Amino acid sequence: MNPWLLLAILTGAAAAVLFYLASPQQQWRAAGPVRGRWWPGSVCALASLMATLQLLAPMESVFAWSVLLMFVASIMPFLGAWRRRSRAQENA
Amino acid sequence: MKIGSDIVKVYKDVHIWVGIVCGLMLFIAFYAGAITIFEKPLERWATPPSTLSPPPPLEDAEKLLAAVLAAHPQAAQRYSIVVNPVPDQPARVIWSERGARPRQQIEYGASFAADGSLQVEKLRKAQAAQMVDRMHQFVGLPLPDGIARYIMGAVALAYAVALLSGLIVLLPTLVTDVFALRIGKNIKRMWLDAHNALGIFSLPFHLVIALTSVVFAFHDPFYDSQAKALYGGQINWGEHEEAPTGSAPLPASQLLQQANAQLPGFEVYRFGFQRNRDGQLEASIVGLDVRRGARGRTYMQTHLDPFTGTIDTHDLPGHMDGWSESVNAFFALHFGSYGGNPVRWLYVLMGLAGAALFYTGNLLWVESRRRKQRGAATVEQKRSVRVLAVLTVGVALGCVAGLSTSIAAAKWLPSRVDDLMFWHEAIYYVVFFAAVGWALLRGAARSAGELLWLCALTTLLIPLSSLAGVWGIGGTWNHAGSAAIDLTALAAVPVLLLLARHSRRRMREGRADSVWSADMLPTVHATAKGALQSAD
Repeated sequence: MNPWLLLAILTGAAAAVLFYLASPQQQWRAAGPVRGRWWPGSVCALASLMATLQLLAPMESVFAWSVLLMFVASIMPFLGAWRRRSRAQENA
Repeated sequence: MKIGSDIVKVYKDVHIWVGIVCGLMLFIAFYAGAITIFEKPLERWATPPSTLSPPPPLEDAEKLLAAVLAAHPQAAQRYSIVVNPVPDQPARVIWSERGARPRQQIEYGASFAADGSLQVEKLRKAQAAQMVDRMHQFVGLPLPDGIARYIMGAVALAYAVALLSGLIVLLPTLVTDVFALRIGKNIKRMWLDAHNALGIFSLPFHLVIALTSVVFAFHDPFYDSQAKALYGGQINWGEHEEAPTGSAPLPASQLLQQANAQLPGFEVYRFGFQRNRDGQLEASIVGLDVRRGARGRTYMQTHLDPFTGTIDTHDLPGHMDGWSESVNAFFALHFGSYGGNPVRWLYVLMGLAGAALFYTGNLLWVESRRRKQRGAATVEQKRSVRVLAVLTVGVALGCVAGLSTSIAAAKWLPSRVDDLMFWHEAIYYVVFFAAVGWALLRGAARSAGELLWLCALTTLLIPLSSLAGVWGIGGTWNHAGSAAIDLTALAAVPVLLLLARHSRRRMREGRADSVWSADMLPTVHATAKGALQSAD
């Protein structure tokens, strides 16, 4: 696999996950959200965009990058709720 | 953000009713659209094996072409030299001739037999991918193109309205509710959160899809209006360049070398040749550069000089003028025709998430209107609630089962019938309407689990058909290297079975005052009961 592609996917997905973890509504971490920490997600998002720009033309890069972020951000609430439920079952 | 409650209510009503009217059609469009993203692999998977001998090397393409033109001079009007023959383009030289019907083109392919004699085969195009695309384009409506296309355009416009009205409804609580998914006793809240989670972040994607769909549906009227308003009736497409002249076109292998040198990163699929009205030879190059979005769903095309190999790049993305780049972007963003398989998979997932968005919207509507049980008295839900629940289950799962069955049939039909498209559509609609009828008969609660089982079984038929092809049972076949389709279908089976299990659990253990409970009467029974009570 192209290393730029791998970097673009991993940092893009990490960006959306980190944004989720920084949200007050996150359910993944039992300890609560990483409050006010939006910068790790932003750095990852920027790194992902830079990596995507190495692979595709500018407009296509921006759209592919945003679709990746949109998708991971859309599914994170479901993964968070699933994790919370699993945690509750383990604790019960 | 503060917005008056009266304004929110108006937009909420707009969002709800547009969603209810268009939601199920959009489910079909998105589910079929997700499959259409992998149109080419599906077409290859579904194309019957060619009887031609393996194609000669590209260096011998001219020798084969000369043999074809000697035996079939009419091929000189329009032919292609394929760079890498694949199951859906199995010959080195392919040409097309006009069929009996209007706009019908019949394709032929040629090769050399082992003894060096010319072999010619009428190519049979698989129709499974086209059928899925038709369902996507016409939101599953069994209507003629001219009508279905405009309905699809109106649905896409309504979809854009629903997106914007939904955003306005959400604005007052957007900051606090972003990323929220509260799973608890309040089922309405849960479906609302699930609907919002799917909708908020993917809003830009959905807006692009909605607006591009409107452009596709009303493409012809747009151009007609433009022609009348700006060009006095006929659009000026610019000067048509003079056809190149020369004694003999370059061999395809040299054209390929020239193309690789001029367009690094562009994968050449084929060279197309045709005679213009003056009998001059014109050529085009067809291929794909995955770094840029293509206007064609799976390819880019531009002119080249067949005598020098010089490519006229002005029709290729990245070389177009501003207006053409904008139009190209409309197509590319809708098709996901850039970035190769990673972006295609993202589009598949976003398409499925979109289908889930419309499904959850309907579930939210049903839950919002549930009459809650108080005390021991049995509660009967409103007919509108029961009907929408039944239609949500029947239409959505009928679409899934119908498409799976029709795709699986692709490997059994070619040896039995001639009109493949008719049979693909017939199979789809029979399964689809049977599922809707079953849902009406059994009620939403029971039919949800049963139809999910049907979806799993019909999806399993796809890899089973390929497995039958390994042994050639019933005229089936299996192309080497097309396992991705079978593996994807196989991976969907346990997901559908898991959903069936959850549906059955909801039917048994869910609230008794819900349309999803086994205690609730099926819609047709309840309607009959209602009619009898009215008569009494």
